[in-house]
Amino acid sequence: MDRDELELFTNSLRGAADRHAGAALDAAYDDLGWRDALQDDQQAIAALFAIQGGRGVASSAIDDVLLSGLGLEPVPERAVVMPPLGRHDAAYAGRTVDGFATHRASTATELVIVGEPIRVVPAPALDRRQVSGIDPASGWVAVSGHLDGDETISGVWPDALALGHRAVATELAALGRTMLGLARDHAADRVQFGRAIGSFQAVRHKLADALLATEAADAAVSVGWAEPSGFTALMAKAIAGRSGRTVARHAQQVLAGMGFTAEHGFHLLMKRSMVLDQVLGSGAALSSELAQRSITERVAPPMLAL
Amino acid sequence: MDLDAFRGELDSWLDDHDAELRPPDSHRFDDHMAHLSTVKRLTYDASFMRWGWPESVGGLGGSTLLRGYLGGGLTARGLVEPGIYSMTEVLVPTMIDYAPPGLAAEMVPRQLRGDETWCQGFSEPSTGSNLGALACRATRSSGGEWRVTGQKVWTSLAQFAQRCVLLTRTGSPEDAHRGITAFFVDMDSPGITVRPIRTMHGVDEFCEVFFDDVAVPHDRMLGAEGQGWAVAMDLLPFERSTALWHRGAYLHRKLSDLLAAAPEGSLSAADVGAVIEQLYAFRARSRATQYRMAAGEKLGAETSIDKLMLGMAEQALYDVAAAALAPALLAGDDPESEGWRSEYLYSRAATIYGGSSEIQRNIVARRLLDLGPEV
Repeated sequence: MDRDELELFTNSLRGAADRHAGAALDAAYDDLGWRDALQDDQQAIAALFAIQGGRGVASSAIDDVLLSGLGLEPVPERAVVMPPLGRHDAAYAGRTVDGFATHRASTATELVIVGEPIRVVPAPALDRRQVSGIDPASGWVAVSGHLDGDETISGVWPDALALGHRAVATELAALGRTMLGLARDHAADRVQFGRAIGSFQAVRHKLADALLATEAADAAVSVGWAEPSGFTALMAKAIAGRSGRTVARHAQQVLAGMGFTAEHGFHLLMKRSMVLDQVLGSGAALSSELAQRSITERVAPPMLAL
Repeated sequence: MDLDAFRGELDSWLDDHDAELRPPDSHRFDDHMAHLSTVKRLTYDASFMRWGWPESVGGLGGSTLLRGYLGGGLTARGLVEPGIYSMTEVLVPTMIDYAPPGLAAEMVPRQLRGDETWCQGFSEPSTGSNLGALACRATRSSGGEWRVTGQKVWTSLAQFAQRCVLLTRTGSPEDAHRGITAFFVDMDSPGITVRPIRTMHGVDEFCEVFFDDVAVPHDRMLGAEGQGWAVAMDLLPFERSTALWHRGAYLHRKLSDLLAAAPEGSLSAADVGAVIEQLYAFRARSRATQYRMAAGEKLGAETSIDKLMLGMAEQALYDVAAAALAPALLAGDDPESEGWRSEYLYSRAATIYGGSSEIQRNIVARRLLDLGPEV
């Protein structure tokens, strides 16, 4: 896509995410040619997940991203069973499946179960439980059961995982910026003691720290897309996850009672952010795993060069 | 020269000249200052130090990224300490932008070549963070020259410096930031007294500097009369760009050193992971800043983010080091332990110098989050 095409595409995605969520958003993305775009140009993936995070809406676009990362045709009939929350290695062990999926797993006819090798089963073969949990708005699905067949499909999970990390990290970074925006606007508008609370240094510094975390996430996400590797993708995911936790904490405190209500939009963003931090491996676990390797081998991971 | 060619040439040159460039096995600050001059002279003569600076001041032109790469290479290899090396990055851009062209052309090569050390006379006893209230006064005499009287403090390297980029008050105190003028002052001028201050890490890094009716020629003014605030505001982003990039490269080396030195079982993966994340995020941010600068973008308040990130990453790294190496760091009297101790203590200043983290957060809130004035 050239610059103009990408901008046009991005604007259309934005319009779709403004109006829809869930399966309806999937259909809207489909109409815009998202499935072709994502295979054609990774900028399309970055754009979609930034927009999704910016609005705090859920779709099953991550399924398409992972499928394309595995070299499989991304079609709505196919859903991906990701590893359970917090893990990134596999969604099955032996013949036992324990995985996490988007709402697409409820309607798909075929499930692609990640791990090495990649397994594939007809959807009815596994139990698919609609997850209510902390983030019912996103429509997550827990997948479990027993693998009877031995059917596998080609595809390298670490490659798909890296692409997934970049996509989820992009959404997390954007969610963080949206949470910060809510808190910032509240601080500018809310008057106490005769002045906007954003004029108090205690409040300003929390917001500054939230911006710091948001900028850290954006920087790591940009590098993830510009210099794709398993390492830069992992760092983006870990840093965006930590950033999400930091921003949520500060934004919640600044939004105070308002942000604690179910009527205010903040809690939906925070909850989705908490789940995404655990999708495809928790940020904390990913970074600890990397660090453990450095400690054992006594070698620091490569740093970015000019 | 483009960055790719520069990388290749510099890397092999640094490999070949490692022995000459290696710092002395000494913890005396004087030795390190002397070594810094040597490194600058060698890199200047091999022309690496001249790339990225305009030809009008003795440079060879080319992207500013070349400067970042050179400093990053020297600090990452442990050949120079970034704090003293990067002073060039802070003060030379100011000279290029604000000094009379002849003065910049005469002086800048001396700084690049390591012939001279310069210092930055900004802070005063009563104005650390509140720069706009500085009081060191410059008055124009009937002979046309300026006479400076007052005091500066926290002036790094003043005891070694031949010149000082000095902020003075030429207007009334009520003019606040509008009444400030910058000068390039010879440190051997009669009336200047320098008193080094011993720091908690045992190094006389900075000084008090007293000015008693010091004569400064009019042609040593940087910018115009009353333009000193702009000089300072333009200088500060440089303090938070290439200089920080160099420091980040150095910290990456220290992380490697820590991983090599830490006793078995003394490091927690979660803590080290958090340090890696912070250093990496800083590098990602600072590199983007380097590229923006190279593209000719004017740097501003957004570099406060870089400074905050660096300070947090540096302290996180040395907190982990202090815990993992506690017996050595606290009670070891061998050179390696002394090194860790000194660096740990110095890291405590990372959120203080160059505008404290509180000041940076104020800038972020005001300028980047547009929260209006603080009350």
